[in-house]
Amino acid sequence: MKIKIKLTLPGRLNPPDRSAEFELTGHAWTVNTEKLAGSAGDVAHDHGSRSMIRRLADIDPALVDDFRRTL
Amino acid sequence: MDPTVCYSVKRPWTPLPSDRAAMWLASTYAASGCRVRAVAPTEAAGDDCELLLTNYRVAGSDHNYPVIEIGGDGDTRSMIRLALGRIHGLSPFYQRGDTRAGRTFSGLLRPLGKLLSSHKTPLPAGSDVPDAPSNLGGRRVVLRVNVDWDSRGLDILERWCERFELRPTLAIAGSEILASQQRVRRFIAATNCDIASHSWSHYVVMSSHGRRRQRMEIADNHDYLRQLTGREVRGFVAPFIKYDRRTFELLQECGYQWFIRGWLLHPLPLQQSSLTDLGVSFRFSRGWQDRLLARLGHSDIALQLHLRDLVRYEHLLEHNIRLLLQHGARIIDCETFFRETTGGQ
Repeated sequence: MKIKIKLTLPGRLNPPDRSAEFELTGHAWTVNTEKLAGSAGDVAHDHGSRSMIRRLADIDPALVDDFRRTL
Repeated sequence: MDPTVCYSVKRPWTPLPSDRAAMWLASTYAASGCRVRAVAPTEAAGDDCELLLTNYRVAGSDHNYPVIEIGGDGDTRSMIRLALGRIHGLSPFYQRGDTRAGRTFSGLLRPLGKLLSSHKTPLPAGSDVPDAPSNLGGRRVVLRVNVDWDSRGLDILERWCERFELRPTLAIAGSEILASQQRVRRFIAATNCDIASHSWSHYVVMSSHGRRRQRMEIADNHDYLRQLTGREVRGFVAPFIKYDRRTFELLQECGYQWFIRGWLLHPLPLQQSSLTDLGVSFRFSRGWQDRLLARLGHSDIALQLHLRDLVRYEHLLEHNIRLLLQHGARIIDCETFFRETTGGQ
């Protein structure tokens, strides 16, 4: 399955690079969510939001592979 | 205060892949200590929401929290599969595994199913198994055993309960134990184990039946278990983990508080309902014994076993239970897991 993840931040125009579409595998997850979190990190409106978005990129790739097996 | 993550999905009752992905993501946040709330529709997320996970399209910038929108290409395929399943459900042989004609029909279809499944995209090689953490103190392993009747399995479980002081959850389908009621009653009295309902008939796909049959499966088994054990039953595990909206409505009517459905890292409240999905989070696939301890490094795990698995993998499972306890993991039942994670009474 391909998963599409789009990040929208409040009160700002969201450029297209804040979305990613990728095959749901641990490796792709790591690469793409890292990019996504990176693109949002400097503009997210507070520290709390930044860490919440960051957490998306911290999910262990093995868990993503595990989840994919259930789809 | 813990940050609050909200999630909102289109089909909480019979989820499609994007719904499941959103719920799984929400459970990863819950596992890392966030408070997760189910909201519907997305506009109701409220001021305390710090992140919204959804598969709805969220319009513009009229919200004051970040939104992660999840979509996927598997939804259409799943919709078609569901529709075909519904048509197949109307055929006279569907769900007749207890008749010779039904068994023959299912057997004839099996090669076709295998052929179709070979078209699936192969899974990636998978990520490396990380090293197991040396101390798992505080991590919980939720042990639930579904009762597909096998007295040897129950003997093994009783021995483990005594030796390791386990208190598992037994998910019981009434029709399975009718002939062995006294044995089960003795087991429950001896181990004081937790009891969950597993429908009356066991081999039944709840979501393909109407309200009347579902009520029979849920309410009859509920009454039966209440009489058998003398206590309230608060958890439900649907056979084949298939649910629909009616199943959840009936579960709420009967006073259930938790159920098992999704692949989740942490219990998650079900959208538009008072029920909590405890989830399953460990797959007994090849090499599982190498992954078990490492997996606990990330979160608690909820296991699902059947009595027949206990007979088949007795020594391997016993060895791993011993290993888990040596590493400081707590092996608990579903009810305790539910109470500890949701603060339920």
